[in-house]
Amino acid sequence: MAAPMNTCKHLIRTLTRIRKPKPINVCFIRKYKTGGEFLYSVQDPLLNSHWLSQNKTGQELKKFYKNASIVQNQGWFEVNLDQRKLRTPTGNLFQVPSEPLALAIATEWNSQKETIKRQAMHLTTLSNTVLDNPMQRSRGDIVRGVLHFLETDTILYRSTEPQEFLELQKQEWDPVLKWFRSSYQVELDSTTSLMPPEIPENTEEVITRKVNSLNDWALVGFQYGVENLKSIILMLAITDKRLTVEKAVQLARLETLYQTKIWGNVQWHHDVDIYQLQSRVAAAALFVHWCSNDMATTHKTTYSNQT
Amino acid sequence: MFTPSHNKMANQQKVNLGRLLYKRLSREMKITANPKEKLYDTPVFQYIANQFREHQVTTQKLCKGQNEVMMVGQTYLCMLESLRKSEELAQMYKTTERSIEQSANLVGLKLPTVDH
Repeated sequence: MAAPMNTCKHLIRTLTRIRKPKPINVCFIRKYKTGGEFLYSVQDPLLNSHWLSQNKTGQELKKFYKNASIVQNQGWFEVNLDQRKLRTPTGNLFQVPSEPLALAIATEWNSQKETIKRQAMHLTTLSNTVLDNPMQRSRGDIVRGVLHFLETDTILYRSTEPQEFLELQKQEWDPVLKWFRSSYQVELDSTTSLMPPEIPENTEEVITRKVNSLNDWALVGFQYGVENLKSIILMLAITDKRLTVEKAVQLARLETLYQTKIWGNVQWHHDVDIYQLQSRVAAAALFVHWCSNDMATTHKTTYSNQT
Repeated sequence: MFTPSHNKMANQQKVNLGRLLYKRLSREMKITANPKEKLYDTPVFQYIANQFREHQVTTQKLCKGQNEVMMVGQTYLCMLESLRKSEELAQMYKTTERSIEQSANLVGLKLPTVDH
């Protein structure tokens, strides 16, 4: 008899609904094309907005989880916020190849207080950049971008006046340059003119090879560091463990440092600049170290399909 | 040149630096971590503690130089400290942007009314 069965079913459904007042999320099944195969992934559109800092009305996102932890999955490390898997802004699964990196990212998420401040989560942002590749950059693009800084490297450009500053540059920058020359067996001279110094071919080749030796993950971190320091030599000194991040940032800001010594330091500008630069460069250095082949467990090349 | 006593002193310095780093790292993690949870239980802290234990004898893992693991620890500490300090400065110097009406009031003007 249909009618009583239906009412019975309906009754059970309403009873269960009362007990579990969870909203029913509409889930899509989305096809992702990765490297020629099609992967199916269940994606929750309501959850997707969580992975940006703002919800649809543009307000700041509140901290919507209690604890961030890591799990290992087929050689990759994922981050779980409470029970949900962390995802990138475009909805891809968030995976990193290294355990300490995953731990540090989980710490970033755990450090958020009431609202989520994505601008303070450098490691998460760097990982998202590798996973999503939002600007569709190939390896060649990134390497070229890094090498671009070689001829405009900060520590190669010396200003001739005032005399005291010239001496300071020699004192602080020359040792690093000397280490660089001997460590990589290249020739590179500083210049005092506005024109970029001439880069010997051998130097360019050696540096290109060195930068190319980094895997996809480390490369993104390295490029971020070079971009912030405006110097390849300083970033290489950091990744080769020759300089600390604090010292490298100091060298990158040498002129500003000199000027503030004379004209005074403005805390809300100069100090903020220092700390922001330090946090970014430190994140870049950690990213490079933790994602380098010997530390990471897998070596998936995300850029292998692009030229 | 490198007498045994010299080595001993260098080692002691290294140990002291290690202790200092450990102390500062713990302090930073305590500040940023969840107050409800005990720091000792978190997997992050256990990882750091394990690293210190494993590399007691030598920190030279790769051919990249001495004190490599220490430098990684120092870099992480630098990142945590810099983030905290920049946040503190932002809080200290934050101001709210004035609305258009308030900016107009500064020079004694009022906004024009719009008839709908």
